[in-house]
Amino acid sequence: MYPLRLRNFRLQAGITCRIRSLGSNPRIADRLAQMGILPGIEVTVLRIGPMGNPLELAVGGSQAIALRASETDTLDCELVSLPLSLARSDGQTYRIRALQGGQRYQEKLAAAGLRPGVLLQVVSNRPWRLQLLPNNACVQLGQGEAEKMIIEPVDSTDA
Amino acid sequence: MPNPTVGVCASPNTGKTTLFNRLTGANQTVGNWPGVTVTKKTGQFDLGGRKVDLVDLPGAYSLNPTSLEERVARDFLLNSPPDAIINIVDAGNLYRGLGLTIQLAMSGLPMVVGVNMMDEARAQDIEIDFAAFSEHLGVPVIPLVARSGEGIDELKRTLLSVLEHHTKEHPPHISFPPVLEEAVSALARKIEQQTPTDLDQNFVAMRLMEGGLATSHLVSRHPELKVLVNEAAAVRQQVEHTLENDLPTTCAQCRFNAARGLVQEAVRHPSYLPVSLTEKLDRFLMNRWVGLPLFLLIMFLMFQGVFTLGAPLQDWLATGIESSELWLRQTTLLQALPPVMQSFLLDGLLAGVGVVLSFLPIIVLFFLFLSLIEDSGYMARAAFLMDRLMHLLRLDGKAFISLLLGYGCNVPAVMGTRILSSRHNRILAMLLIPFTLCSARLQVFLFLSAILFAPRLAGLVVFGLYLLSFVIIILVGLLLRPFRFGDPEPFIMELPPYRLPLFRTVLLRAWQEIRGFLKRAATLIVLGVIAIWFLTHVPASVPPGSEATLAGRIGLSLAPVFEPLGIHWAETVALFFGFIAKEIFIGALAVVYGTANLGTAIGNTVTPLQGLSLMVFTLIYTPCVATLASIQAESRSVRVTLLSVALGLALAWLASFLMYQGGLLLGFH
Repeated sequence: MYPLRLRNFRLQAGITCRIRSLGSNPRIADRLAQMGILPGIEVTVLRIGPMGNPLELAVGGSQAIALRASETDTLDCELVSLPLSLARSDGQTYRIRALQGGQRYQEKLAAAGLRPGVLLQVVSNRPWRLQLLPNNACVQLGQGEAEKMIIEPVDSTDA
Repeated sequence: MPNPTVGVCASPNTGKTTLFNRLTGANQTVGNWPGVTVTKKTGQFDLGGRKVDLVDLPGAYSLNPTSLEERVARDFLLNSPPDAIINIVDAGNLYRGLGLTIQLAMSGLPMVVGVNMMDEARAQDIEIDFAAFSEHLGVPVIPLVARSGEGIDELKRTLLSVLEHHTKEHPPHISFPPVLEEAVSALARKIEQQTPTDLDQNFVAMRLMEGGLATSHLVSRHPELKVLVNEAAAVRQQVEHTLENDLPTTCAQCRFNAARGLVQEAVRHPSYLPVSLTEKLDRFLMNRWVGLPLFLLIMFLMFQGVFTLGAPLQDWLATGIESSELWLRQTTLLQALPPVMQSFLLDGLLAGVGVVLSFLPIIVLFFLFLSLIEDSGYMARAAFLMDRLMHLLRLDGKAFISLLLGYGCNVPAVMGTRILSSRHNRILAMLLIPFTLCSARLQVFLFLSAILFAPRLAGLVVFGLYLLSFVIIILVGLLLRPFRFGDPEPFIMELPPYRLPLFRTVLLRAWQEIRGFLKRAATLIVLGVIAIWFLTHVPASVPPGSEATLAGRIGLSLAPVFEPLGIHWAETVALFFGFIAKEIFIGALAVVYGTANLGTAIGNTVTPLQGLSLMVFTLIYTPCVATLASIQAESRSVRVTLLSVALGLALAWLASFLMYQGGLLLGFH
């Protein structure tokens, strides 16, 4: 795959980031600004086109847009959240931001103590073993369940 | 008293065209905005016993233009402010749409806002507080379903009262950084002292600070403002310096903050959103693996639909023309005319009309399918899927559809370039389409290769010509890569939800395209056919196409140019005829050879290698007169049309030369 980047990190479907600045190309920055895509806005990568380009971005409260990597690679963004399926087991602490599944999925995860706001660390991936904080309970999830869990990185000092 | 003018101004994909059709019915005129290739639609409708002129402005996200369409919309509002504006926003895309609404409301022009696609919003349990919207925007806001006509009566009533009362609107107040706020109101006070304007002074002040075209339009309408131009520029610089951000972005920031606040206050979303139908469909149609095959399947069905349905219709028309020619030939009126006049009327004028008519069925079918694809929302997906590939040629993904259609017929393909997103894309696609192997050329190739090659080879030859056509398109695309036809525009495209196309809209579109073709291209086509008639039939004393005719003499004098290609004099003259329509080439060759048994005649005089060279030349040499007329009608640029001819002739000569001389060197003959 063609690595898609915002200025500071690699893009994959499912990632949400917050725009810090619109970058140095005035034509692109102007167009984005006039479409309401401005610093402070969160965008989610919905999917990446065949052959790695362009990408489809969901913009909160409005229609999705498509743009090319050449139009996004000057955008300065910070990571807001990602699906658990993209997380690595590197000791980073995450907070559950949303559970994007139907009622049964939500109930099943709630029974295991997984609700929005809960803190966790990734112990291993595929299958996904999670350690919940602060009580260190262990939970195991399948790939499909991991894709629907959206987590955001937090400073471990916050926790 | 002249009719009041109302402008429909909205972002793309808001149902603007549906509303326009709903209000005016078929009572509309399609043309171009002066000086640019952006479609302009105007229409009329009755409002409270008087006629209202409705102008459809091109889709715009804001009045700070970043595209040609937005510039046209902005210029119209500044140069000839309408008596009222109808602004449409999509209930499901309010935040982005309100950016423009707020800007329009700030202009101080009388205005009505329609929140469209309320049926979709209701289905998603989205609740909208219209009173709150009206209050904050300072203009009436009404719910609308343009597709079904719901809310249209209220829109008309509101528009009527807005037009009649002429109350000075109270533009919405949105918060700007203090330094900008003060600068704008100081400038606005000076504008008020200079001259009264029909637009709000704060709005005028901001446009003056914008500089460039916005300023020159304002100054040409209000010469008194000229004294403030330099001051406005200085103020802008100072504001930008203080805020460390450019002015349009700062203003967008403020507008969209207001828009977000408004949405938060007036719209209630349900807490749980089920996966939408669009998302479910996109999981297949936009899938990394099956998305492209599905796209190719849809394209195949469209291609087959247009050309298998179109071919019998074209045959009927051709038979009709033929029998009317036979009938005309026998009328005493025509018999009484001198032979030259007879020939002119039948082989020139009537043949030209026949060429025009022969295109009508496929143009109708093509635009029926194209509007289905466009109105359903799939076009944006097609562009998304093909973008990576087409971007290699500096085109966007939609251009693939135009190019593909060229393989059926170049004329609707060129007309279809109108869906592309910038002038650069449109012109580039128009220049590439003539290198596709259309069905008319295919007829020539099937005929020639069957005569000159063994059945086993003949198929390969035609296949090779298809390959050559792909290669030429890629080569020309790469050759033209450094050139810019029009301002470059970034590729940022909305992906609207899937919607069922409206039967009426689709039919209306096909009808408008036919009218446009007849109005703009038909005359050029008939003139082109008559010009070729003139070349090949004058002087009248000699047989058509013979050495003594103008074409024959030109063919003879061009002989040294065509000799290195292995193309004889007689074929050169037939190529002249082929300019009318490429499939005529074969018939013309029979006329020039003066034989009914063309197969034997060609077999005797043309070697297989010469035949190949001739076919390569026929593939590339110049678009037929109908394609050229469409290129001229769409680009409105003689230079582009001439470039298309020159590019074709030069490449055709070069390719045939390489083919023939290369073949000779390798020992073929």
